[in-house]
Amino acid sequence: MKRKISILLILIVSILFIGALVYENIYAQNLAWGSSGAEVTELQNRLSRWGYYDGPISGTYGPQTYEAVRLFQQRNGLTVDGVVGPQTRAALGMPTTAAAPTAPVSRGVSRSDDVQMLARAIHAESKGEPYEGQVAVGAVILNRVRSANFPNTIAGVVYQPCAFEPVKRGAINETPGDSAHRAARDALNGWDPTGGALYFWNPATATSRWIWTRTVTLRIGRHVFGN
Amino acid sequence: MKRYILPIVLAVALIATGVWGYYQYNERNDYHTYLDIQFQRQFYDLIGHVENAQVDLAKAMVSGASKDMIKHLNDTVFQAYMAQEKLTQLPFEHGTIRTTERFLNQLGDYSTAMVNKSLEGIVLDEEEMGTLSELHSYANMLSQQLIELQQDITTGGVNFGDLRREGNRDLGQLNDRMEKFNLINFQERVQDYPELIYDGPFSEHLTDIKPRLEGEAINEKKALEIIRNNFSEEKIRDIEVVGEIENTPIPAYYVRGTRNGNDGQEVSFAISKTGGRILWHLNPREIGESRLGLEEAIKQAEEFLENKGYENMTSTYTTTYEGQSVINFAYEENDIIVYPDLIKVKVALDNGDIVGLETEGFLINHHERNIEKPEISEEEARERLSSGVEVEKARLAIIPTAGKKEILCYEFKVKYGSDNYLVYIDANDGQQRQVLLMVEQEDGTLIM
Repeated sequence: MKRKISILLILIVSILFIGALVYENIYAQNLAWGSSGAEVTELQNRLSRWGYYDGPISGTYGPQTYEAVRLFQQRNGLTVDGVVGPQTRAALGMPTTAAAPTAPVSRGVSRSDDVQMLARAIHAESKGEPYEGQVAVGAVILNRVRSANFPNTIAGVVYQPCAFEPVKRGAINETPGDSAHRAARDALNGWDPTGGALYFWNPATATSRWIWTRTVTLRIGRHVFGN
Repeated sequence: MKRYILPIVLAVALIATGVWGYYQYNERNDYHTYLDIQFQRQFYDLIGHVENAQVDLAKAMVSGASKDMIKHLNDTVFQAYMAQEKLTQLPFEHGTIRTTERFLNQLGDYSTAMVNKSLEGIVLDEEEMGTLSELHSYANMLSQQLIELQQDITTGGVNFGDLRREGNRDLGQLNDRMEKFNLINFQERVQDYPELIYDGPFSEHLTDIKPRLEGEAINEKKALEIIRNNFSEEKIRDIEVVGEIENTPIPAYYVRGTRNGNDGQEVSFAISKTGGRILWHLNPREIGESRLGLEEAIKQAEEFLENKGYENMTSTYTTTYEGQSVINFAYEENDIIVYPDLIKVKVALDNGDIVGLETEGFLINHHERNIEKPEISEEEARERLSSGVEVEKARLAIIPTAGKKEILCYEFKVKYGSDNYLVYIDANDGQQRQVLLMVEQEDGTLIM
């Protein structure tokens, strides 16, 4: 009996340990004077192999490493700033920044960024809803942007604290699917199945009493829309 | 000896866990403090912006010359929107701050409308000055109550960081506190401020727009019949009314059906209860390889609208994405484009199907207009343009203002540098009303 308990304890402790290890997520960061860790060790190794660095492999980015990085940058036609950013990293053959968890954000005209933002919000809020329900969620967000009672930008509305449950849970960062993208475009192009609703909620899970004081405009799938 | 191994391993593991836990605890405290001070900073900023808005508004009111007034009103606009932005990103429940949010937005918006008026050389009348001074006293009250709330938060030990961590329990506490004290109080008093009607996007009159749509009331059976008649070639089966759209400008029946072919794609419609018009239609089917050009797509859409009884509709601009084109149509009367009467048709570029329709703009705004002759000629309007632009096209158009009023303008398509713009010059007083930058993109022309 005692033995069993001990084994159980060991199991629990090892699970905790593994958990702790997994918890430490390492992302590629800029390395500069003052940085330390395995990445710096790797940097020093590479620099010393190629003859730029003759100091100790200490894992600490100090003056010697700084000089070596500058020399490396100078000889390789990079901006000489002593900071190991993405370009210097690539030139050194070190892994560059881990791929972002979200879909690439398009640059240029702000409208395409709006599509991305809206698509992510729609995806997070209305997975598995009928298509017009997805468009309706997008339309509610845009109606809020236009309403005096809410923030005046799409990002302001989506990230408003206490506004959307999935934002709080982090589901907003998931990559949206095709249908969420198309729904976002349709909403931006003016399709509004709700006729101007400012709120939507799921009657099965809504926790706020206040939300029930709203006038309902219609139901689509699991969501009730109102204003 | 052997019997010590297990306890030792366990002890080591326990210590390691403890150390790990301690680090986690510290880290969490760091984040927590960071979050708290971010919210605290926003709160102080909020108070600062409200105070500044109040002071700027006061300065505007005592300014003698209208250019000084405009300067201070512009500052008010900026401060009000900054305050609004700060307030909306604090972790308060929407229900407790929505009136305050509206107040700040309207303060900014109303001031903008007054700036525009003054810029046109109109001296604000007594009523408008009265509204400004009323807004000023509310701004004053709001800043006092925010200061009170701020003191309460500091002495009461409410920690914004806690609000996020503990979820709704502490949030509820803070909201209760707010109810007892300040913002709610403010909310209630703001309830009785006058309805603000002016030419701006947050004006009160926009919330209850009466549609121009007329016609007989229809029942569910008739609604289904309308869909069968209008979409007969689409062979839609199993259509049924699944809900009603109420408390909106145009109440409607919400209808779903399944399309034959295309793997039984589900499609949806809204049919207005008055007049039985299709308010919107969505068909989210997968779209294959594009076979149609934009010209053909526009032709398909034009034919579709004609068949549905919409006459004199002209395509104004298009966007194409993911194998479909959205084509905007505006009503045309005596060669004058009426932009508020807007219909959007979505065409699938693989086989020319109509996969979407949106007519709300048309149904709300379309009516018999008595368009008066413009006061100034096209030549005179052209002189109002910048000398650096090259005019490519000109025509008359009716455009909506920010407050959804309609104004008759000359629409000039001009080139400046390598960019194209649409410039709208008021056909009655020659004022420049709107400038749109046209951004040519892969997926169509975007108008900003």
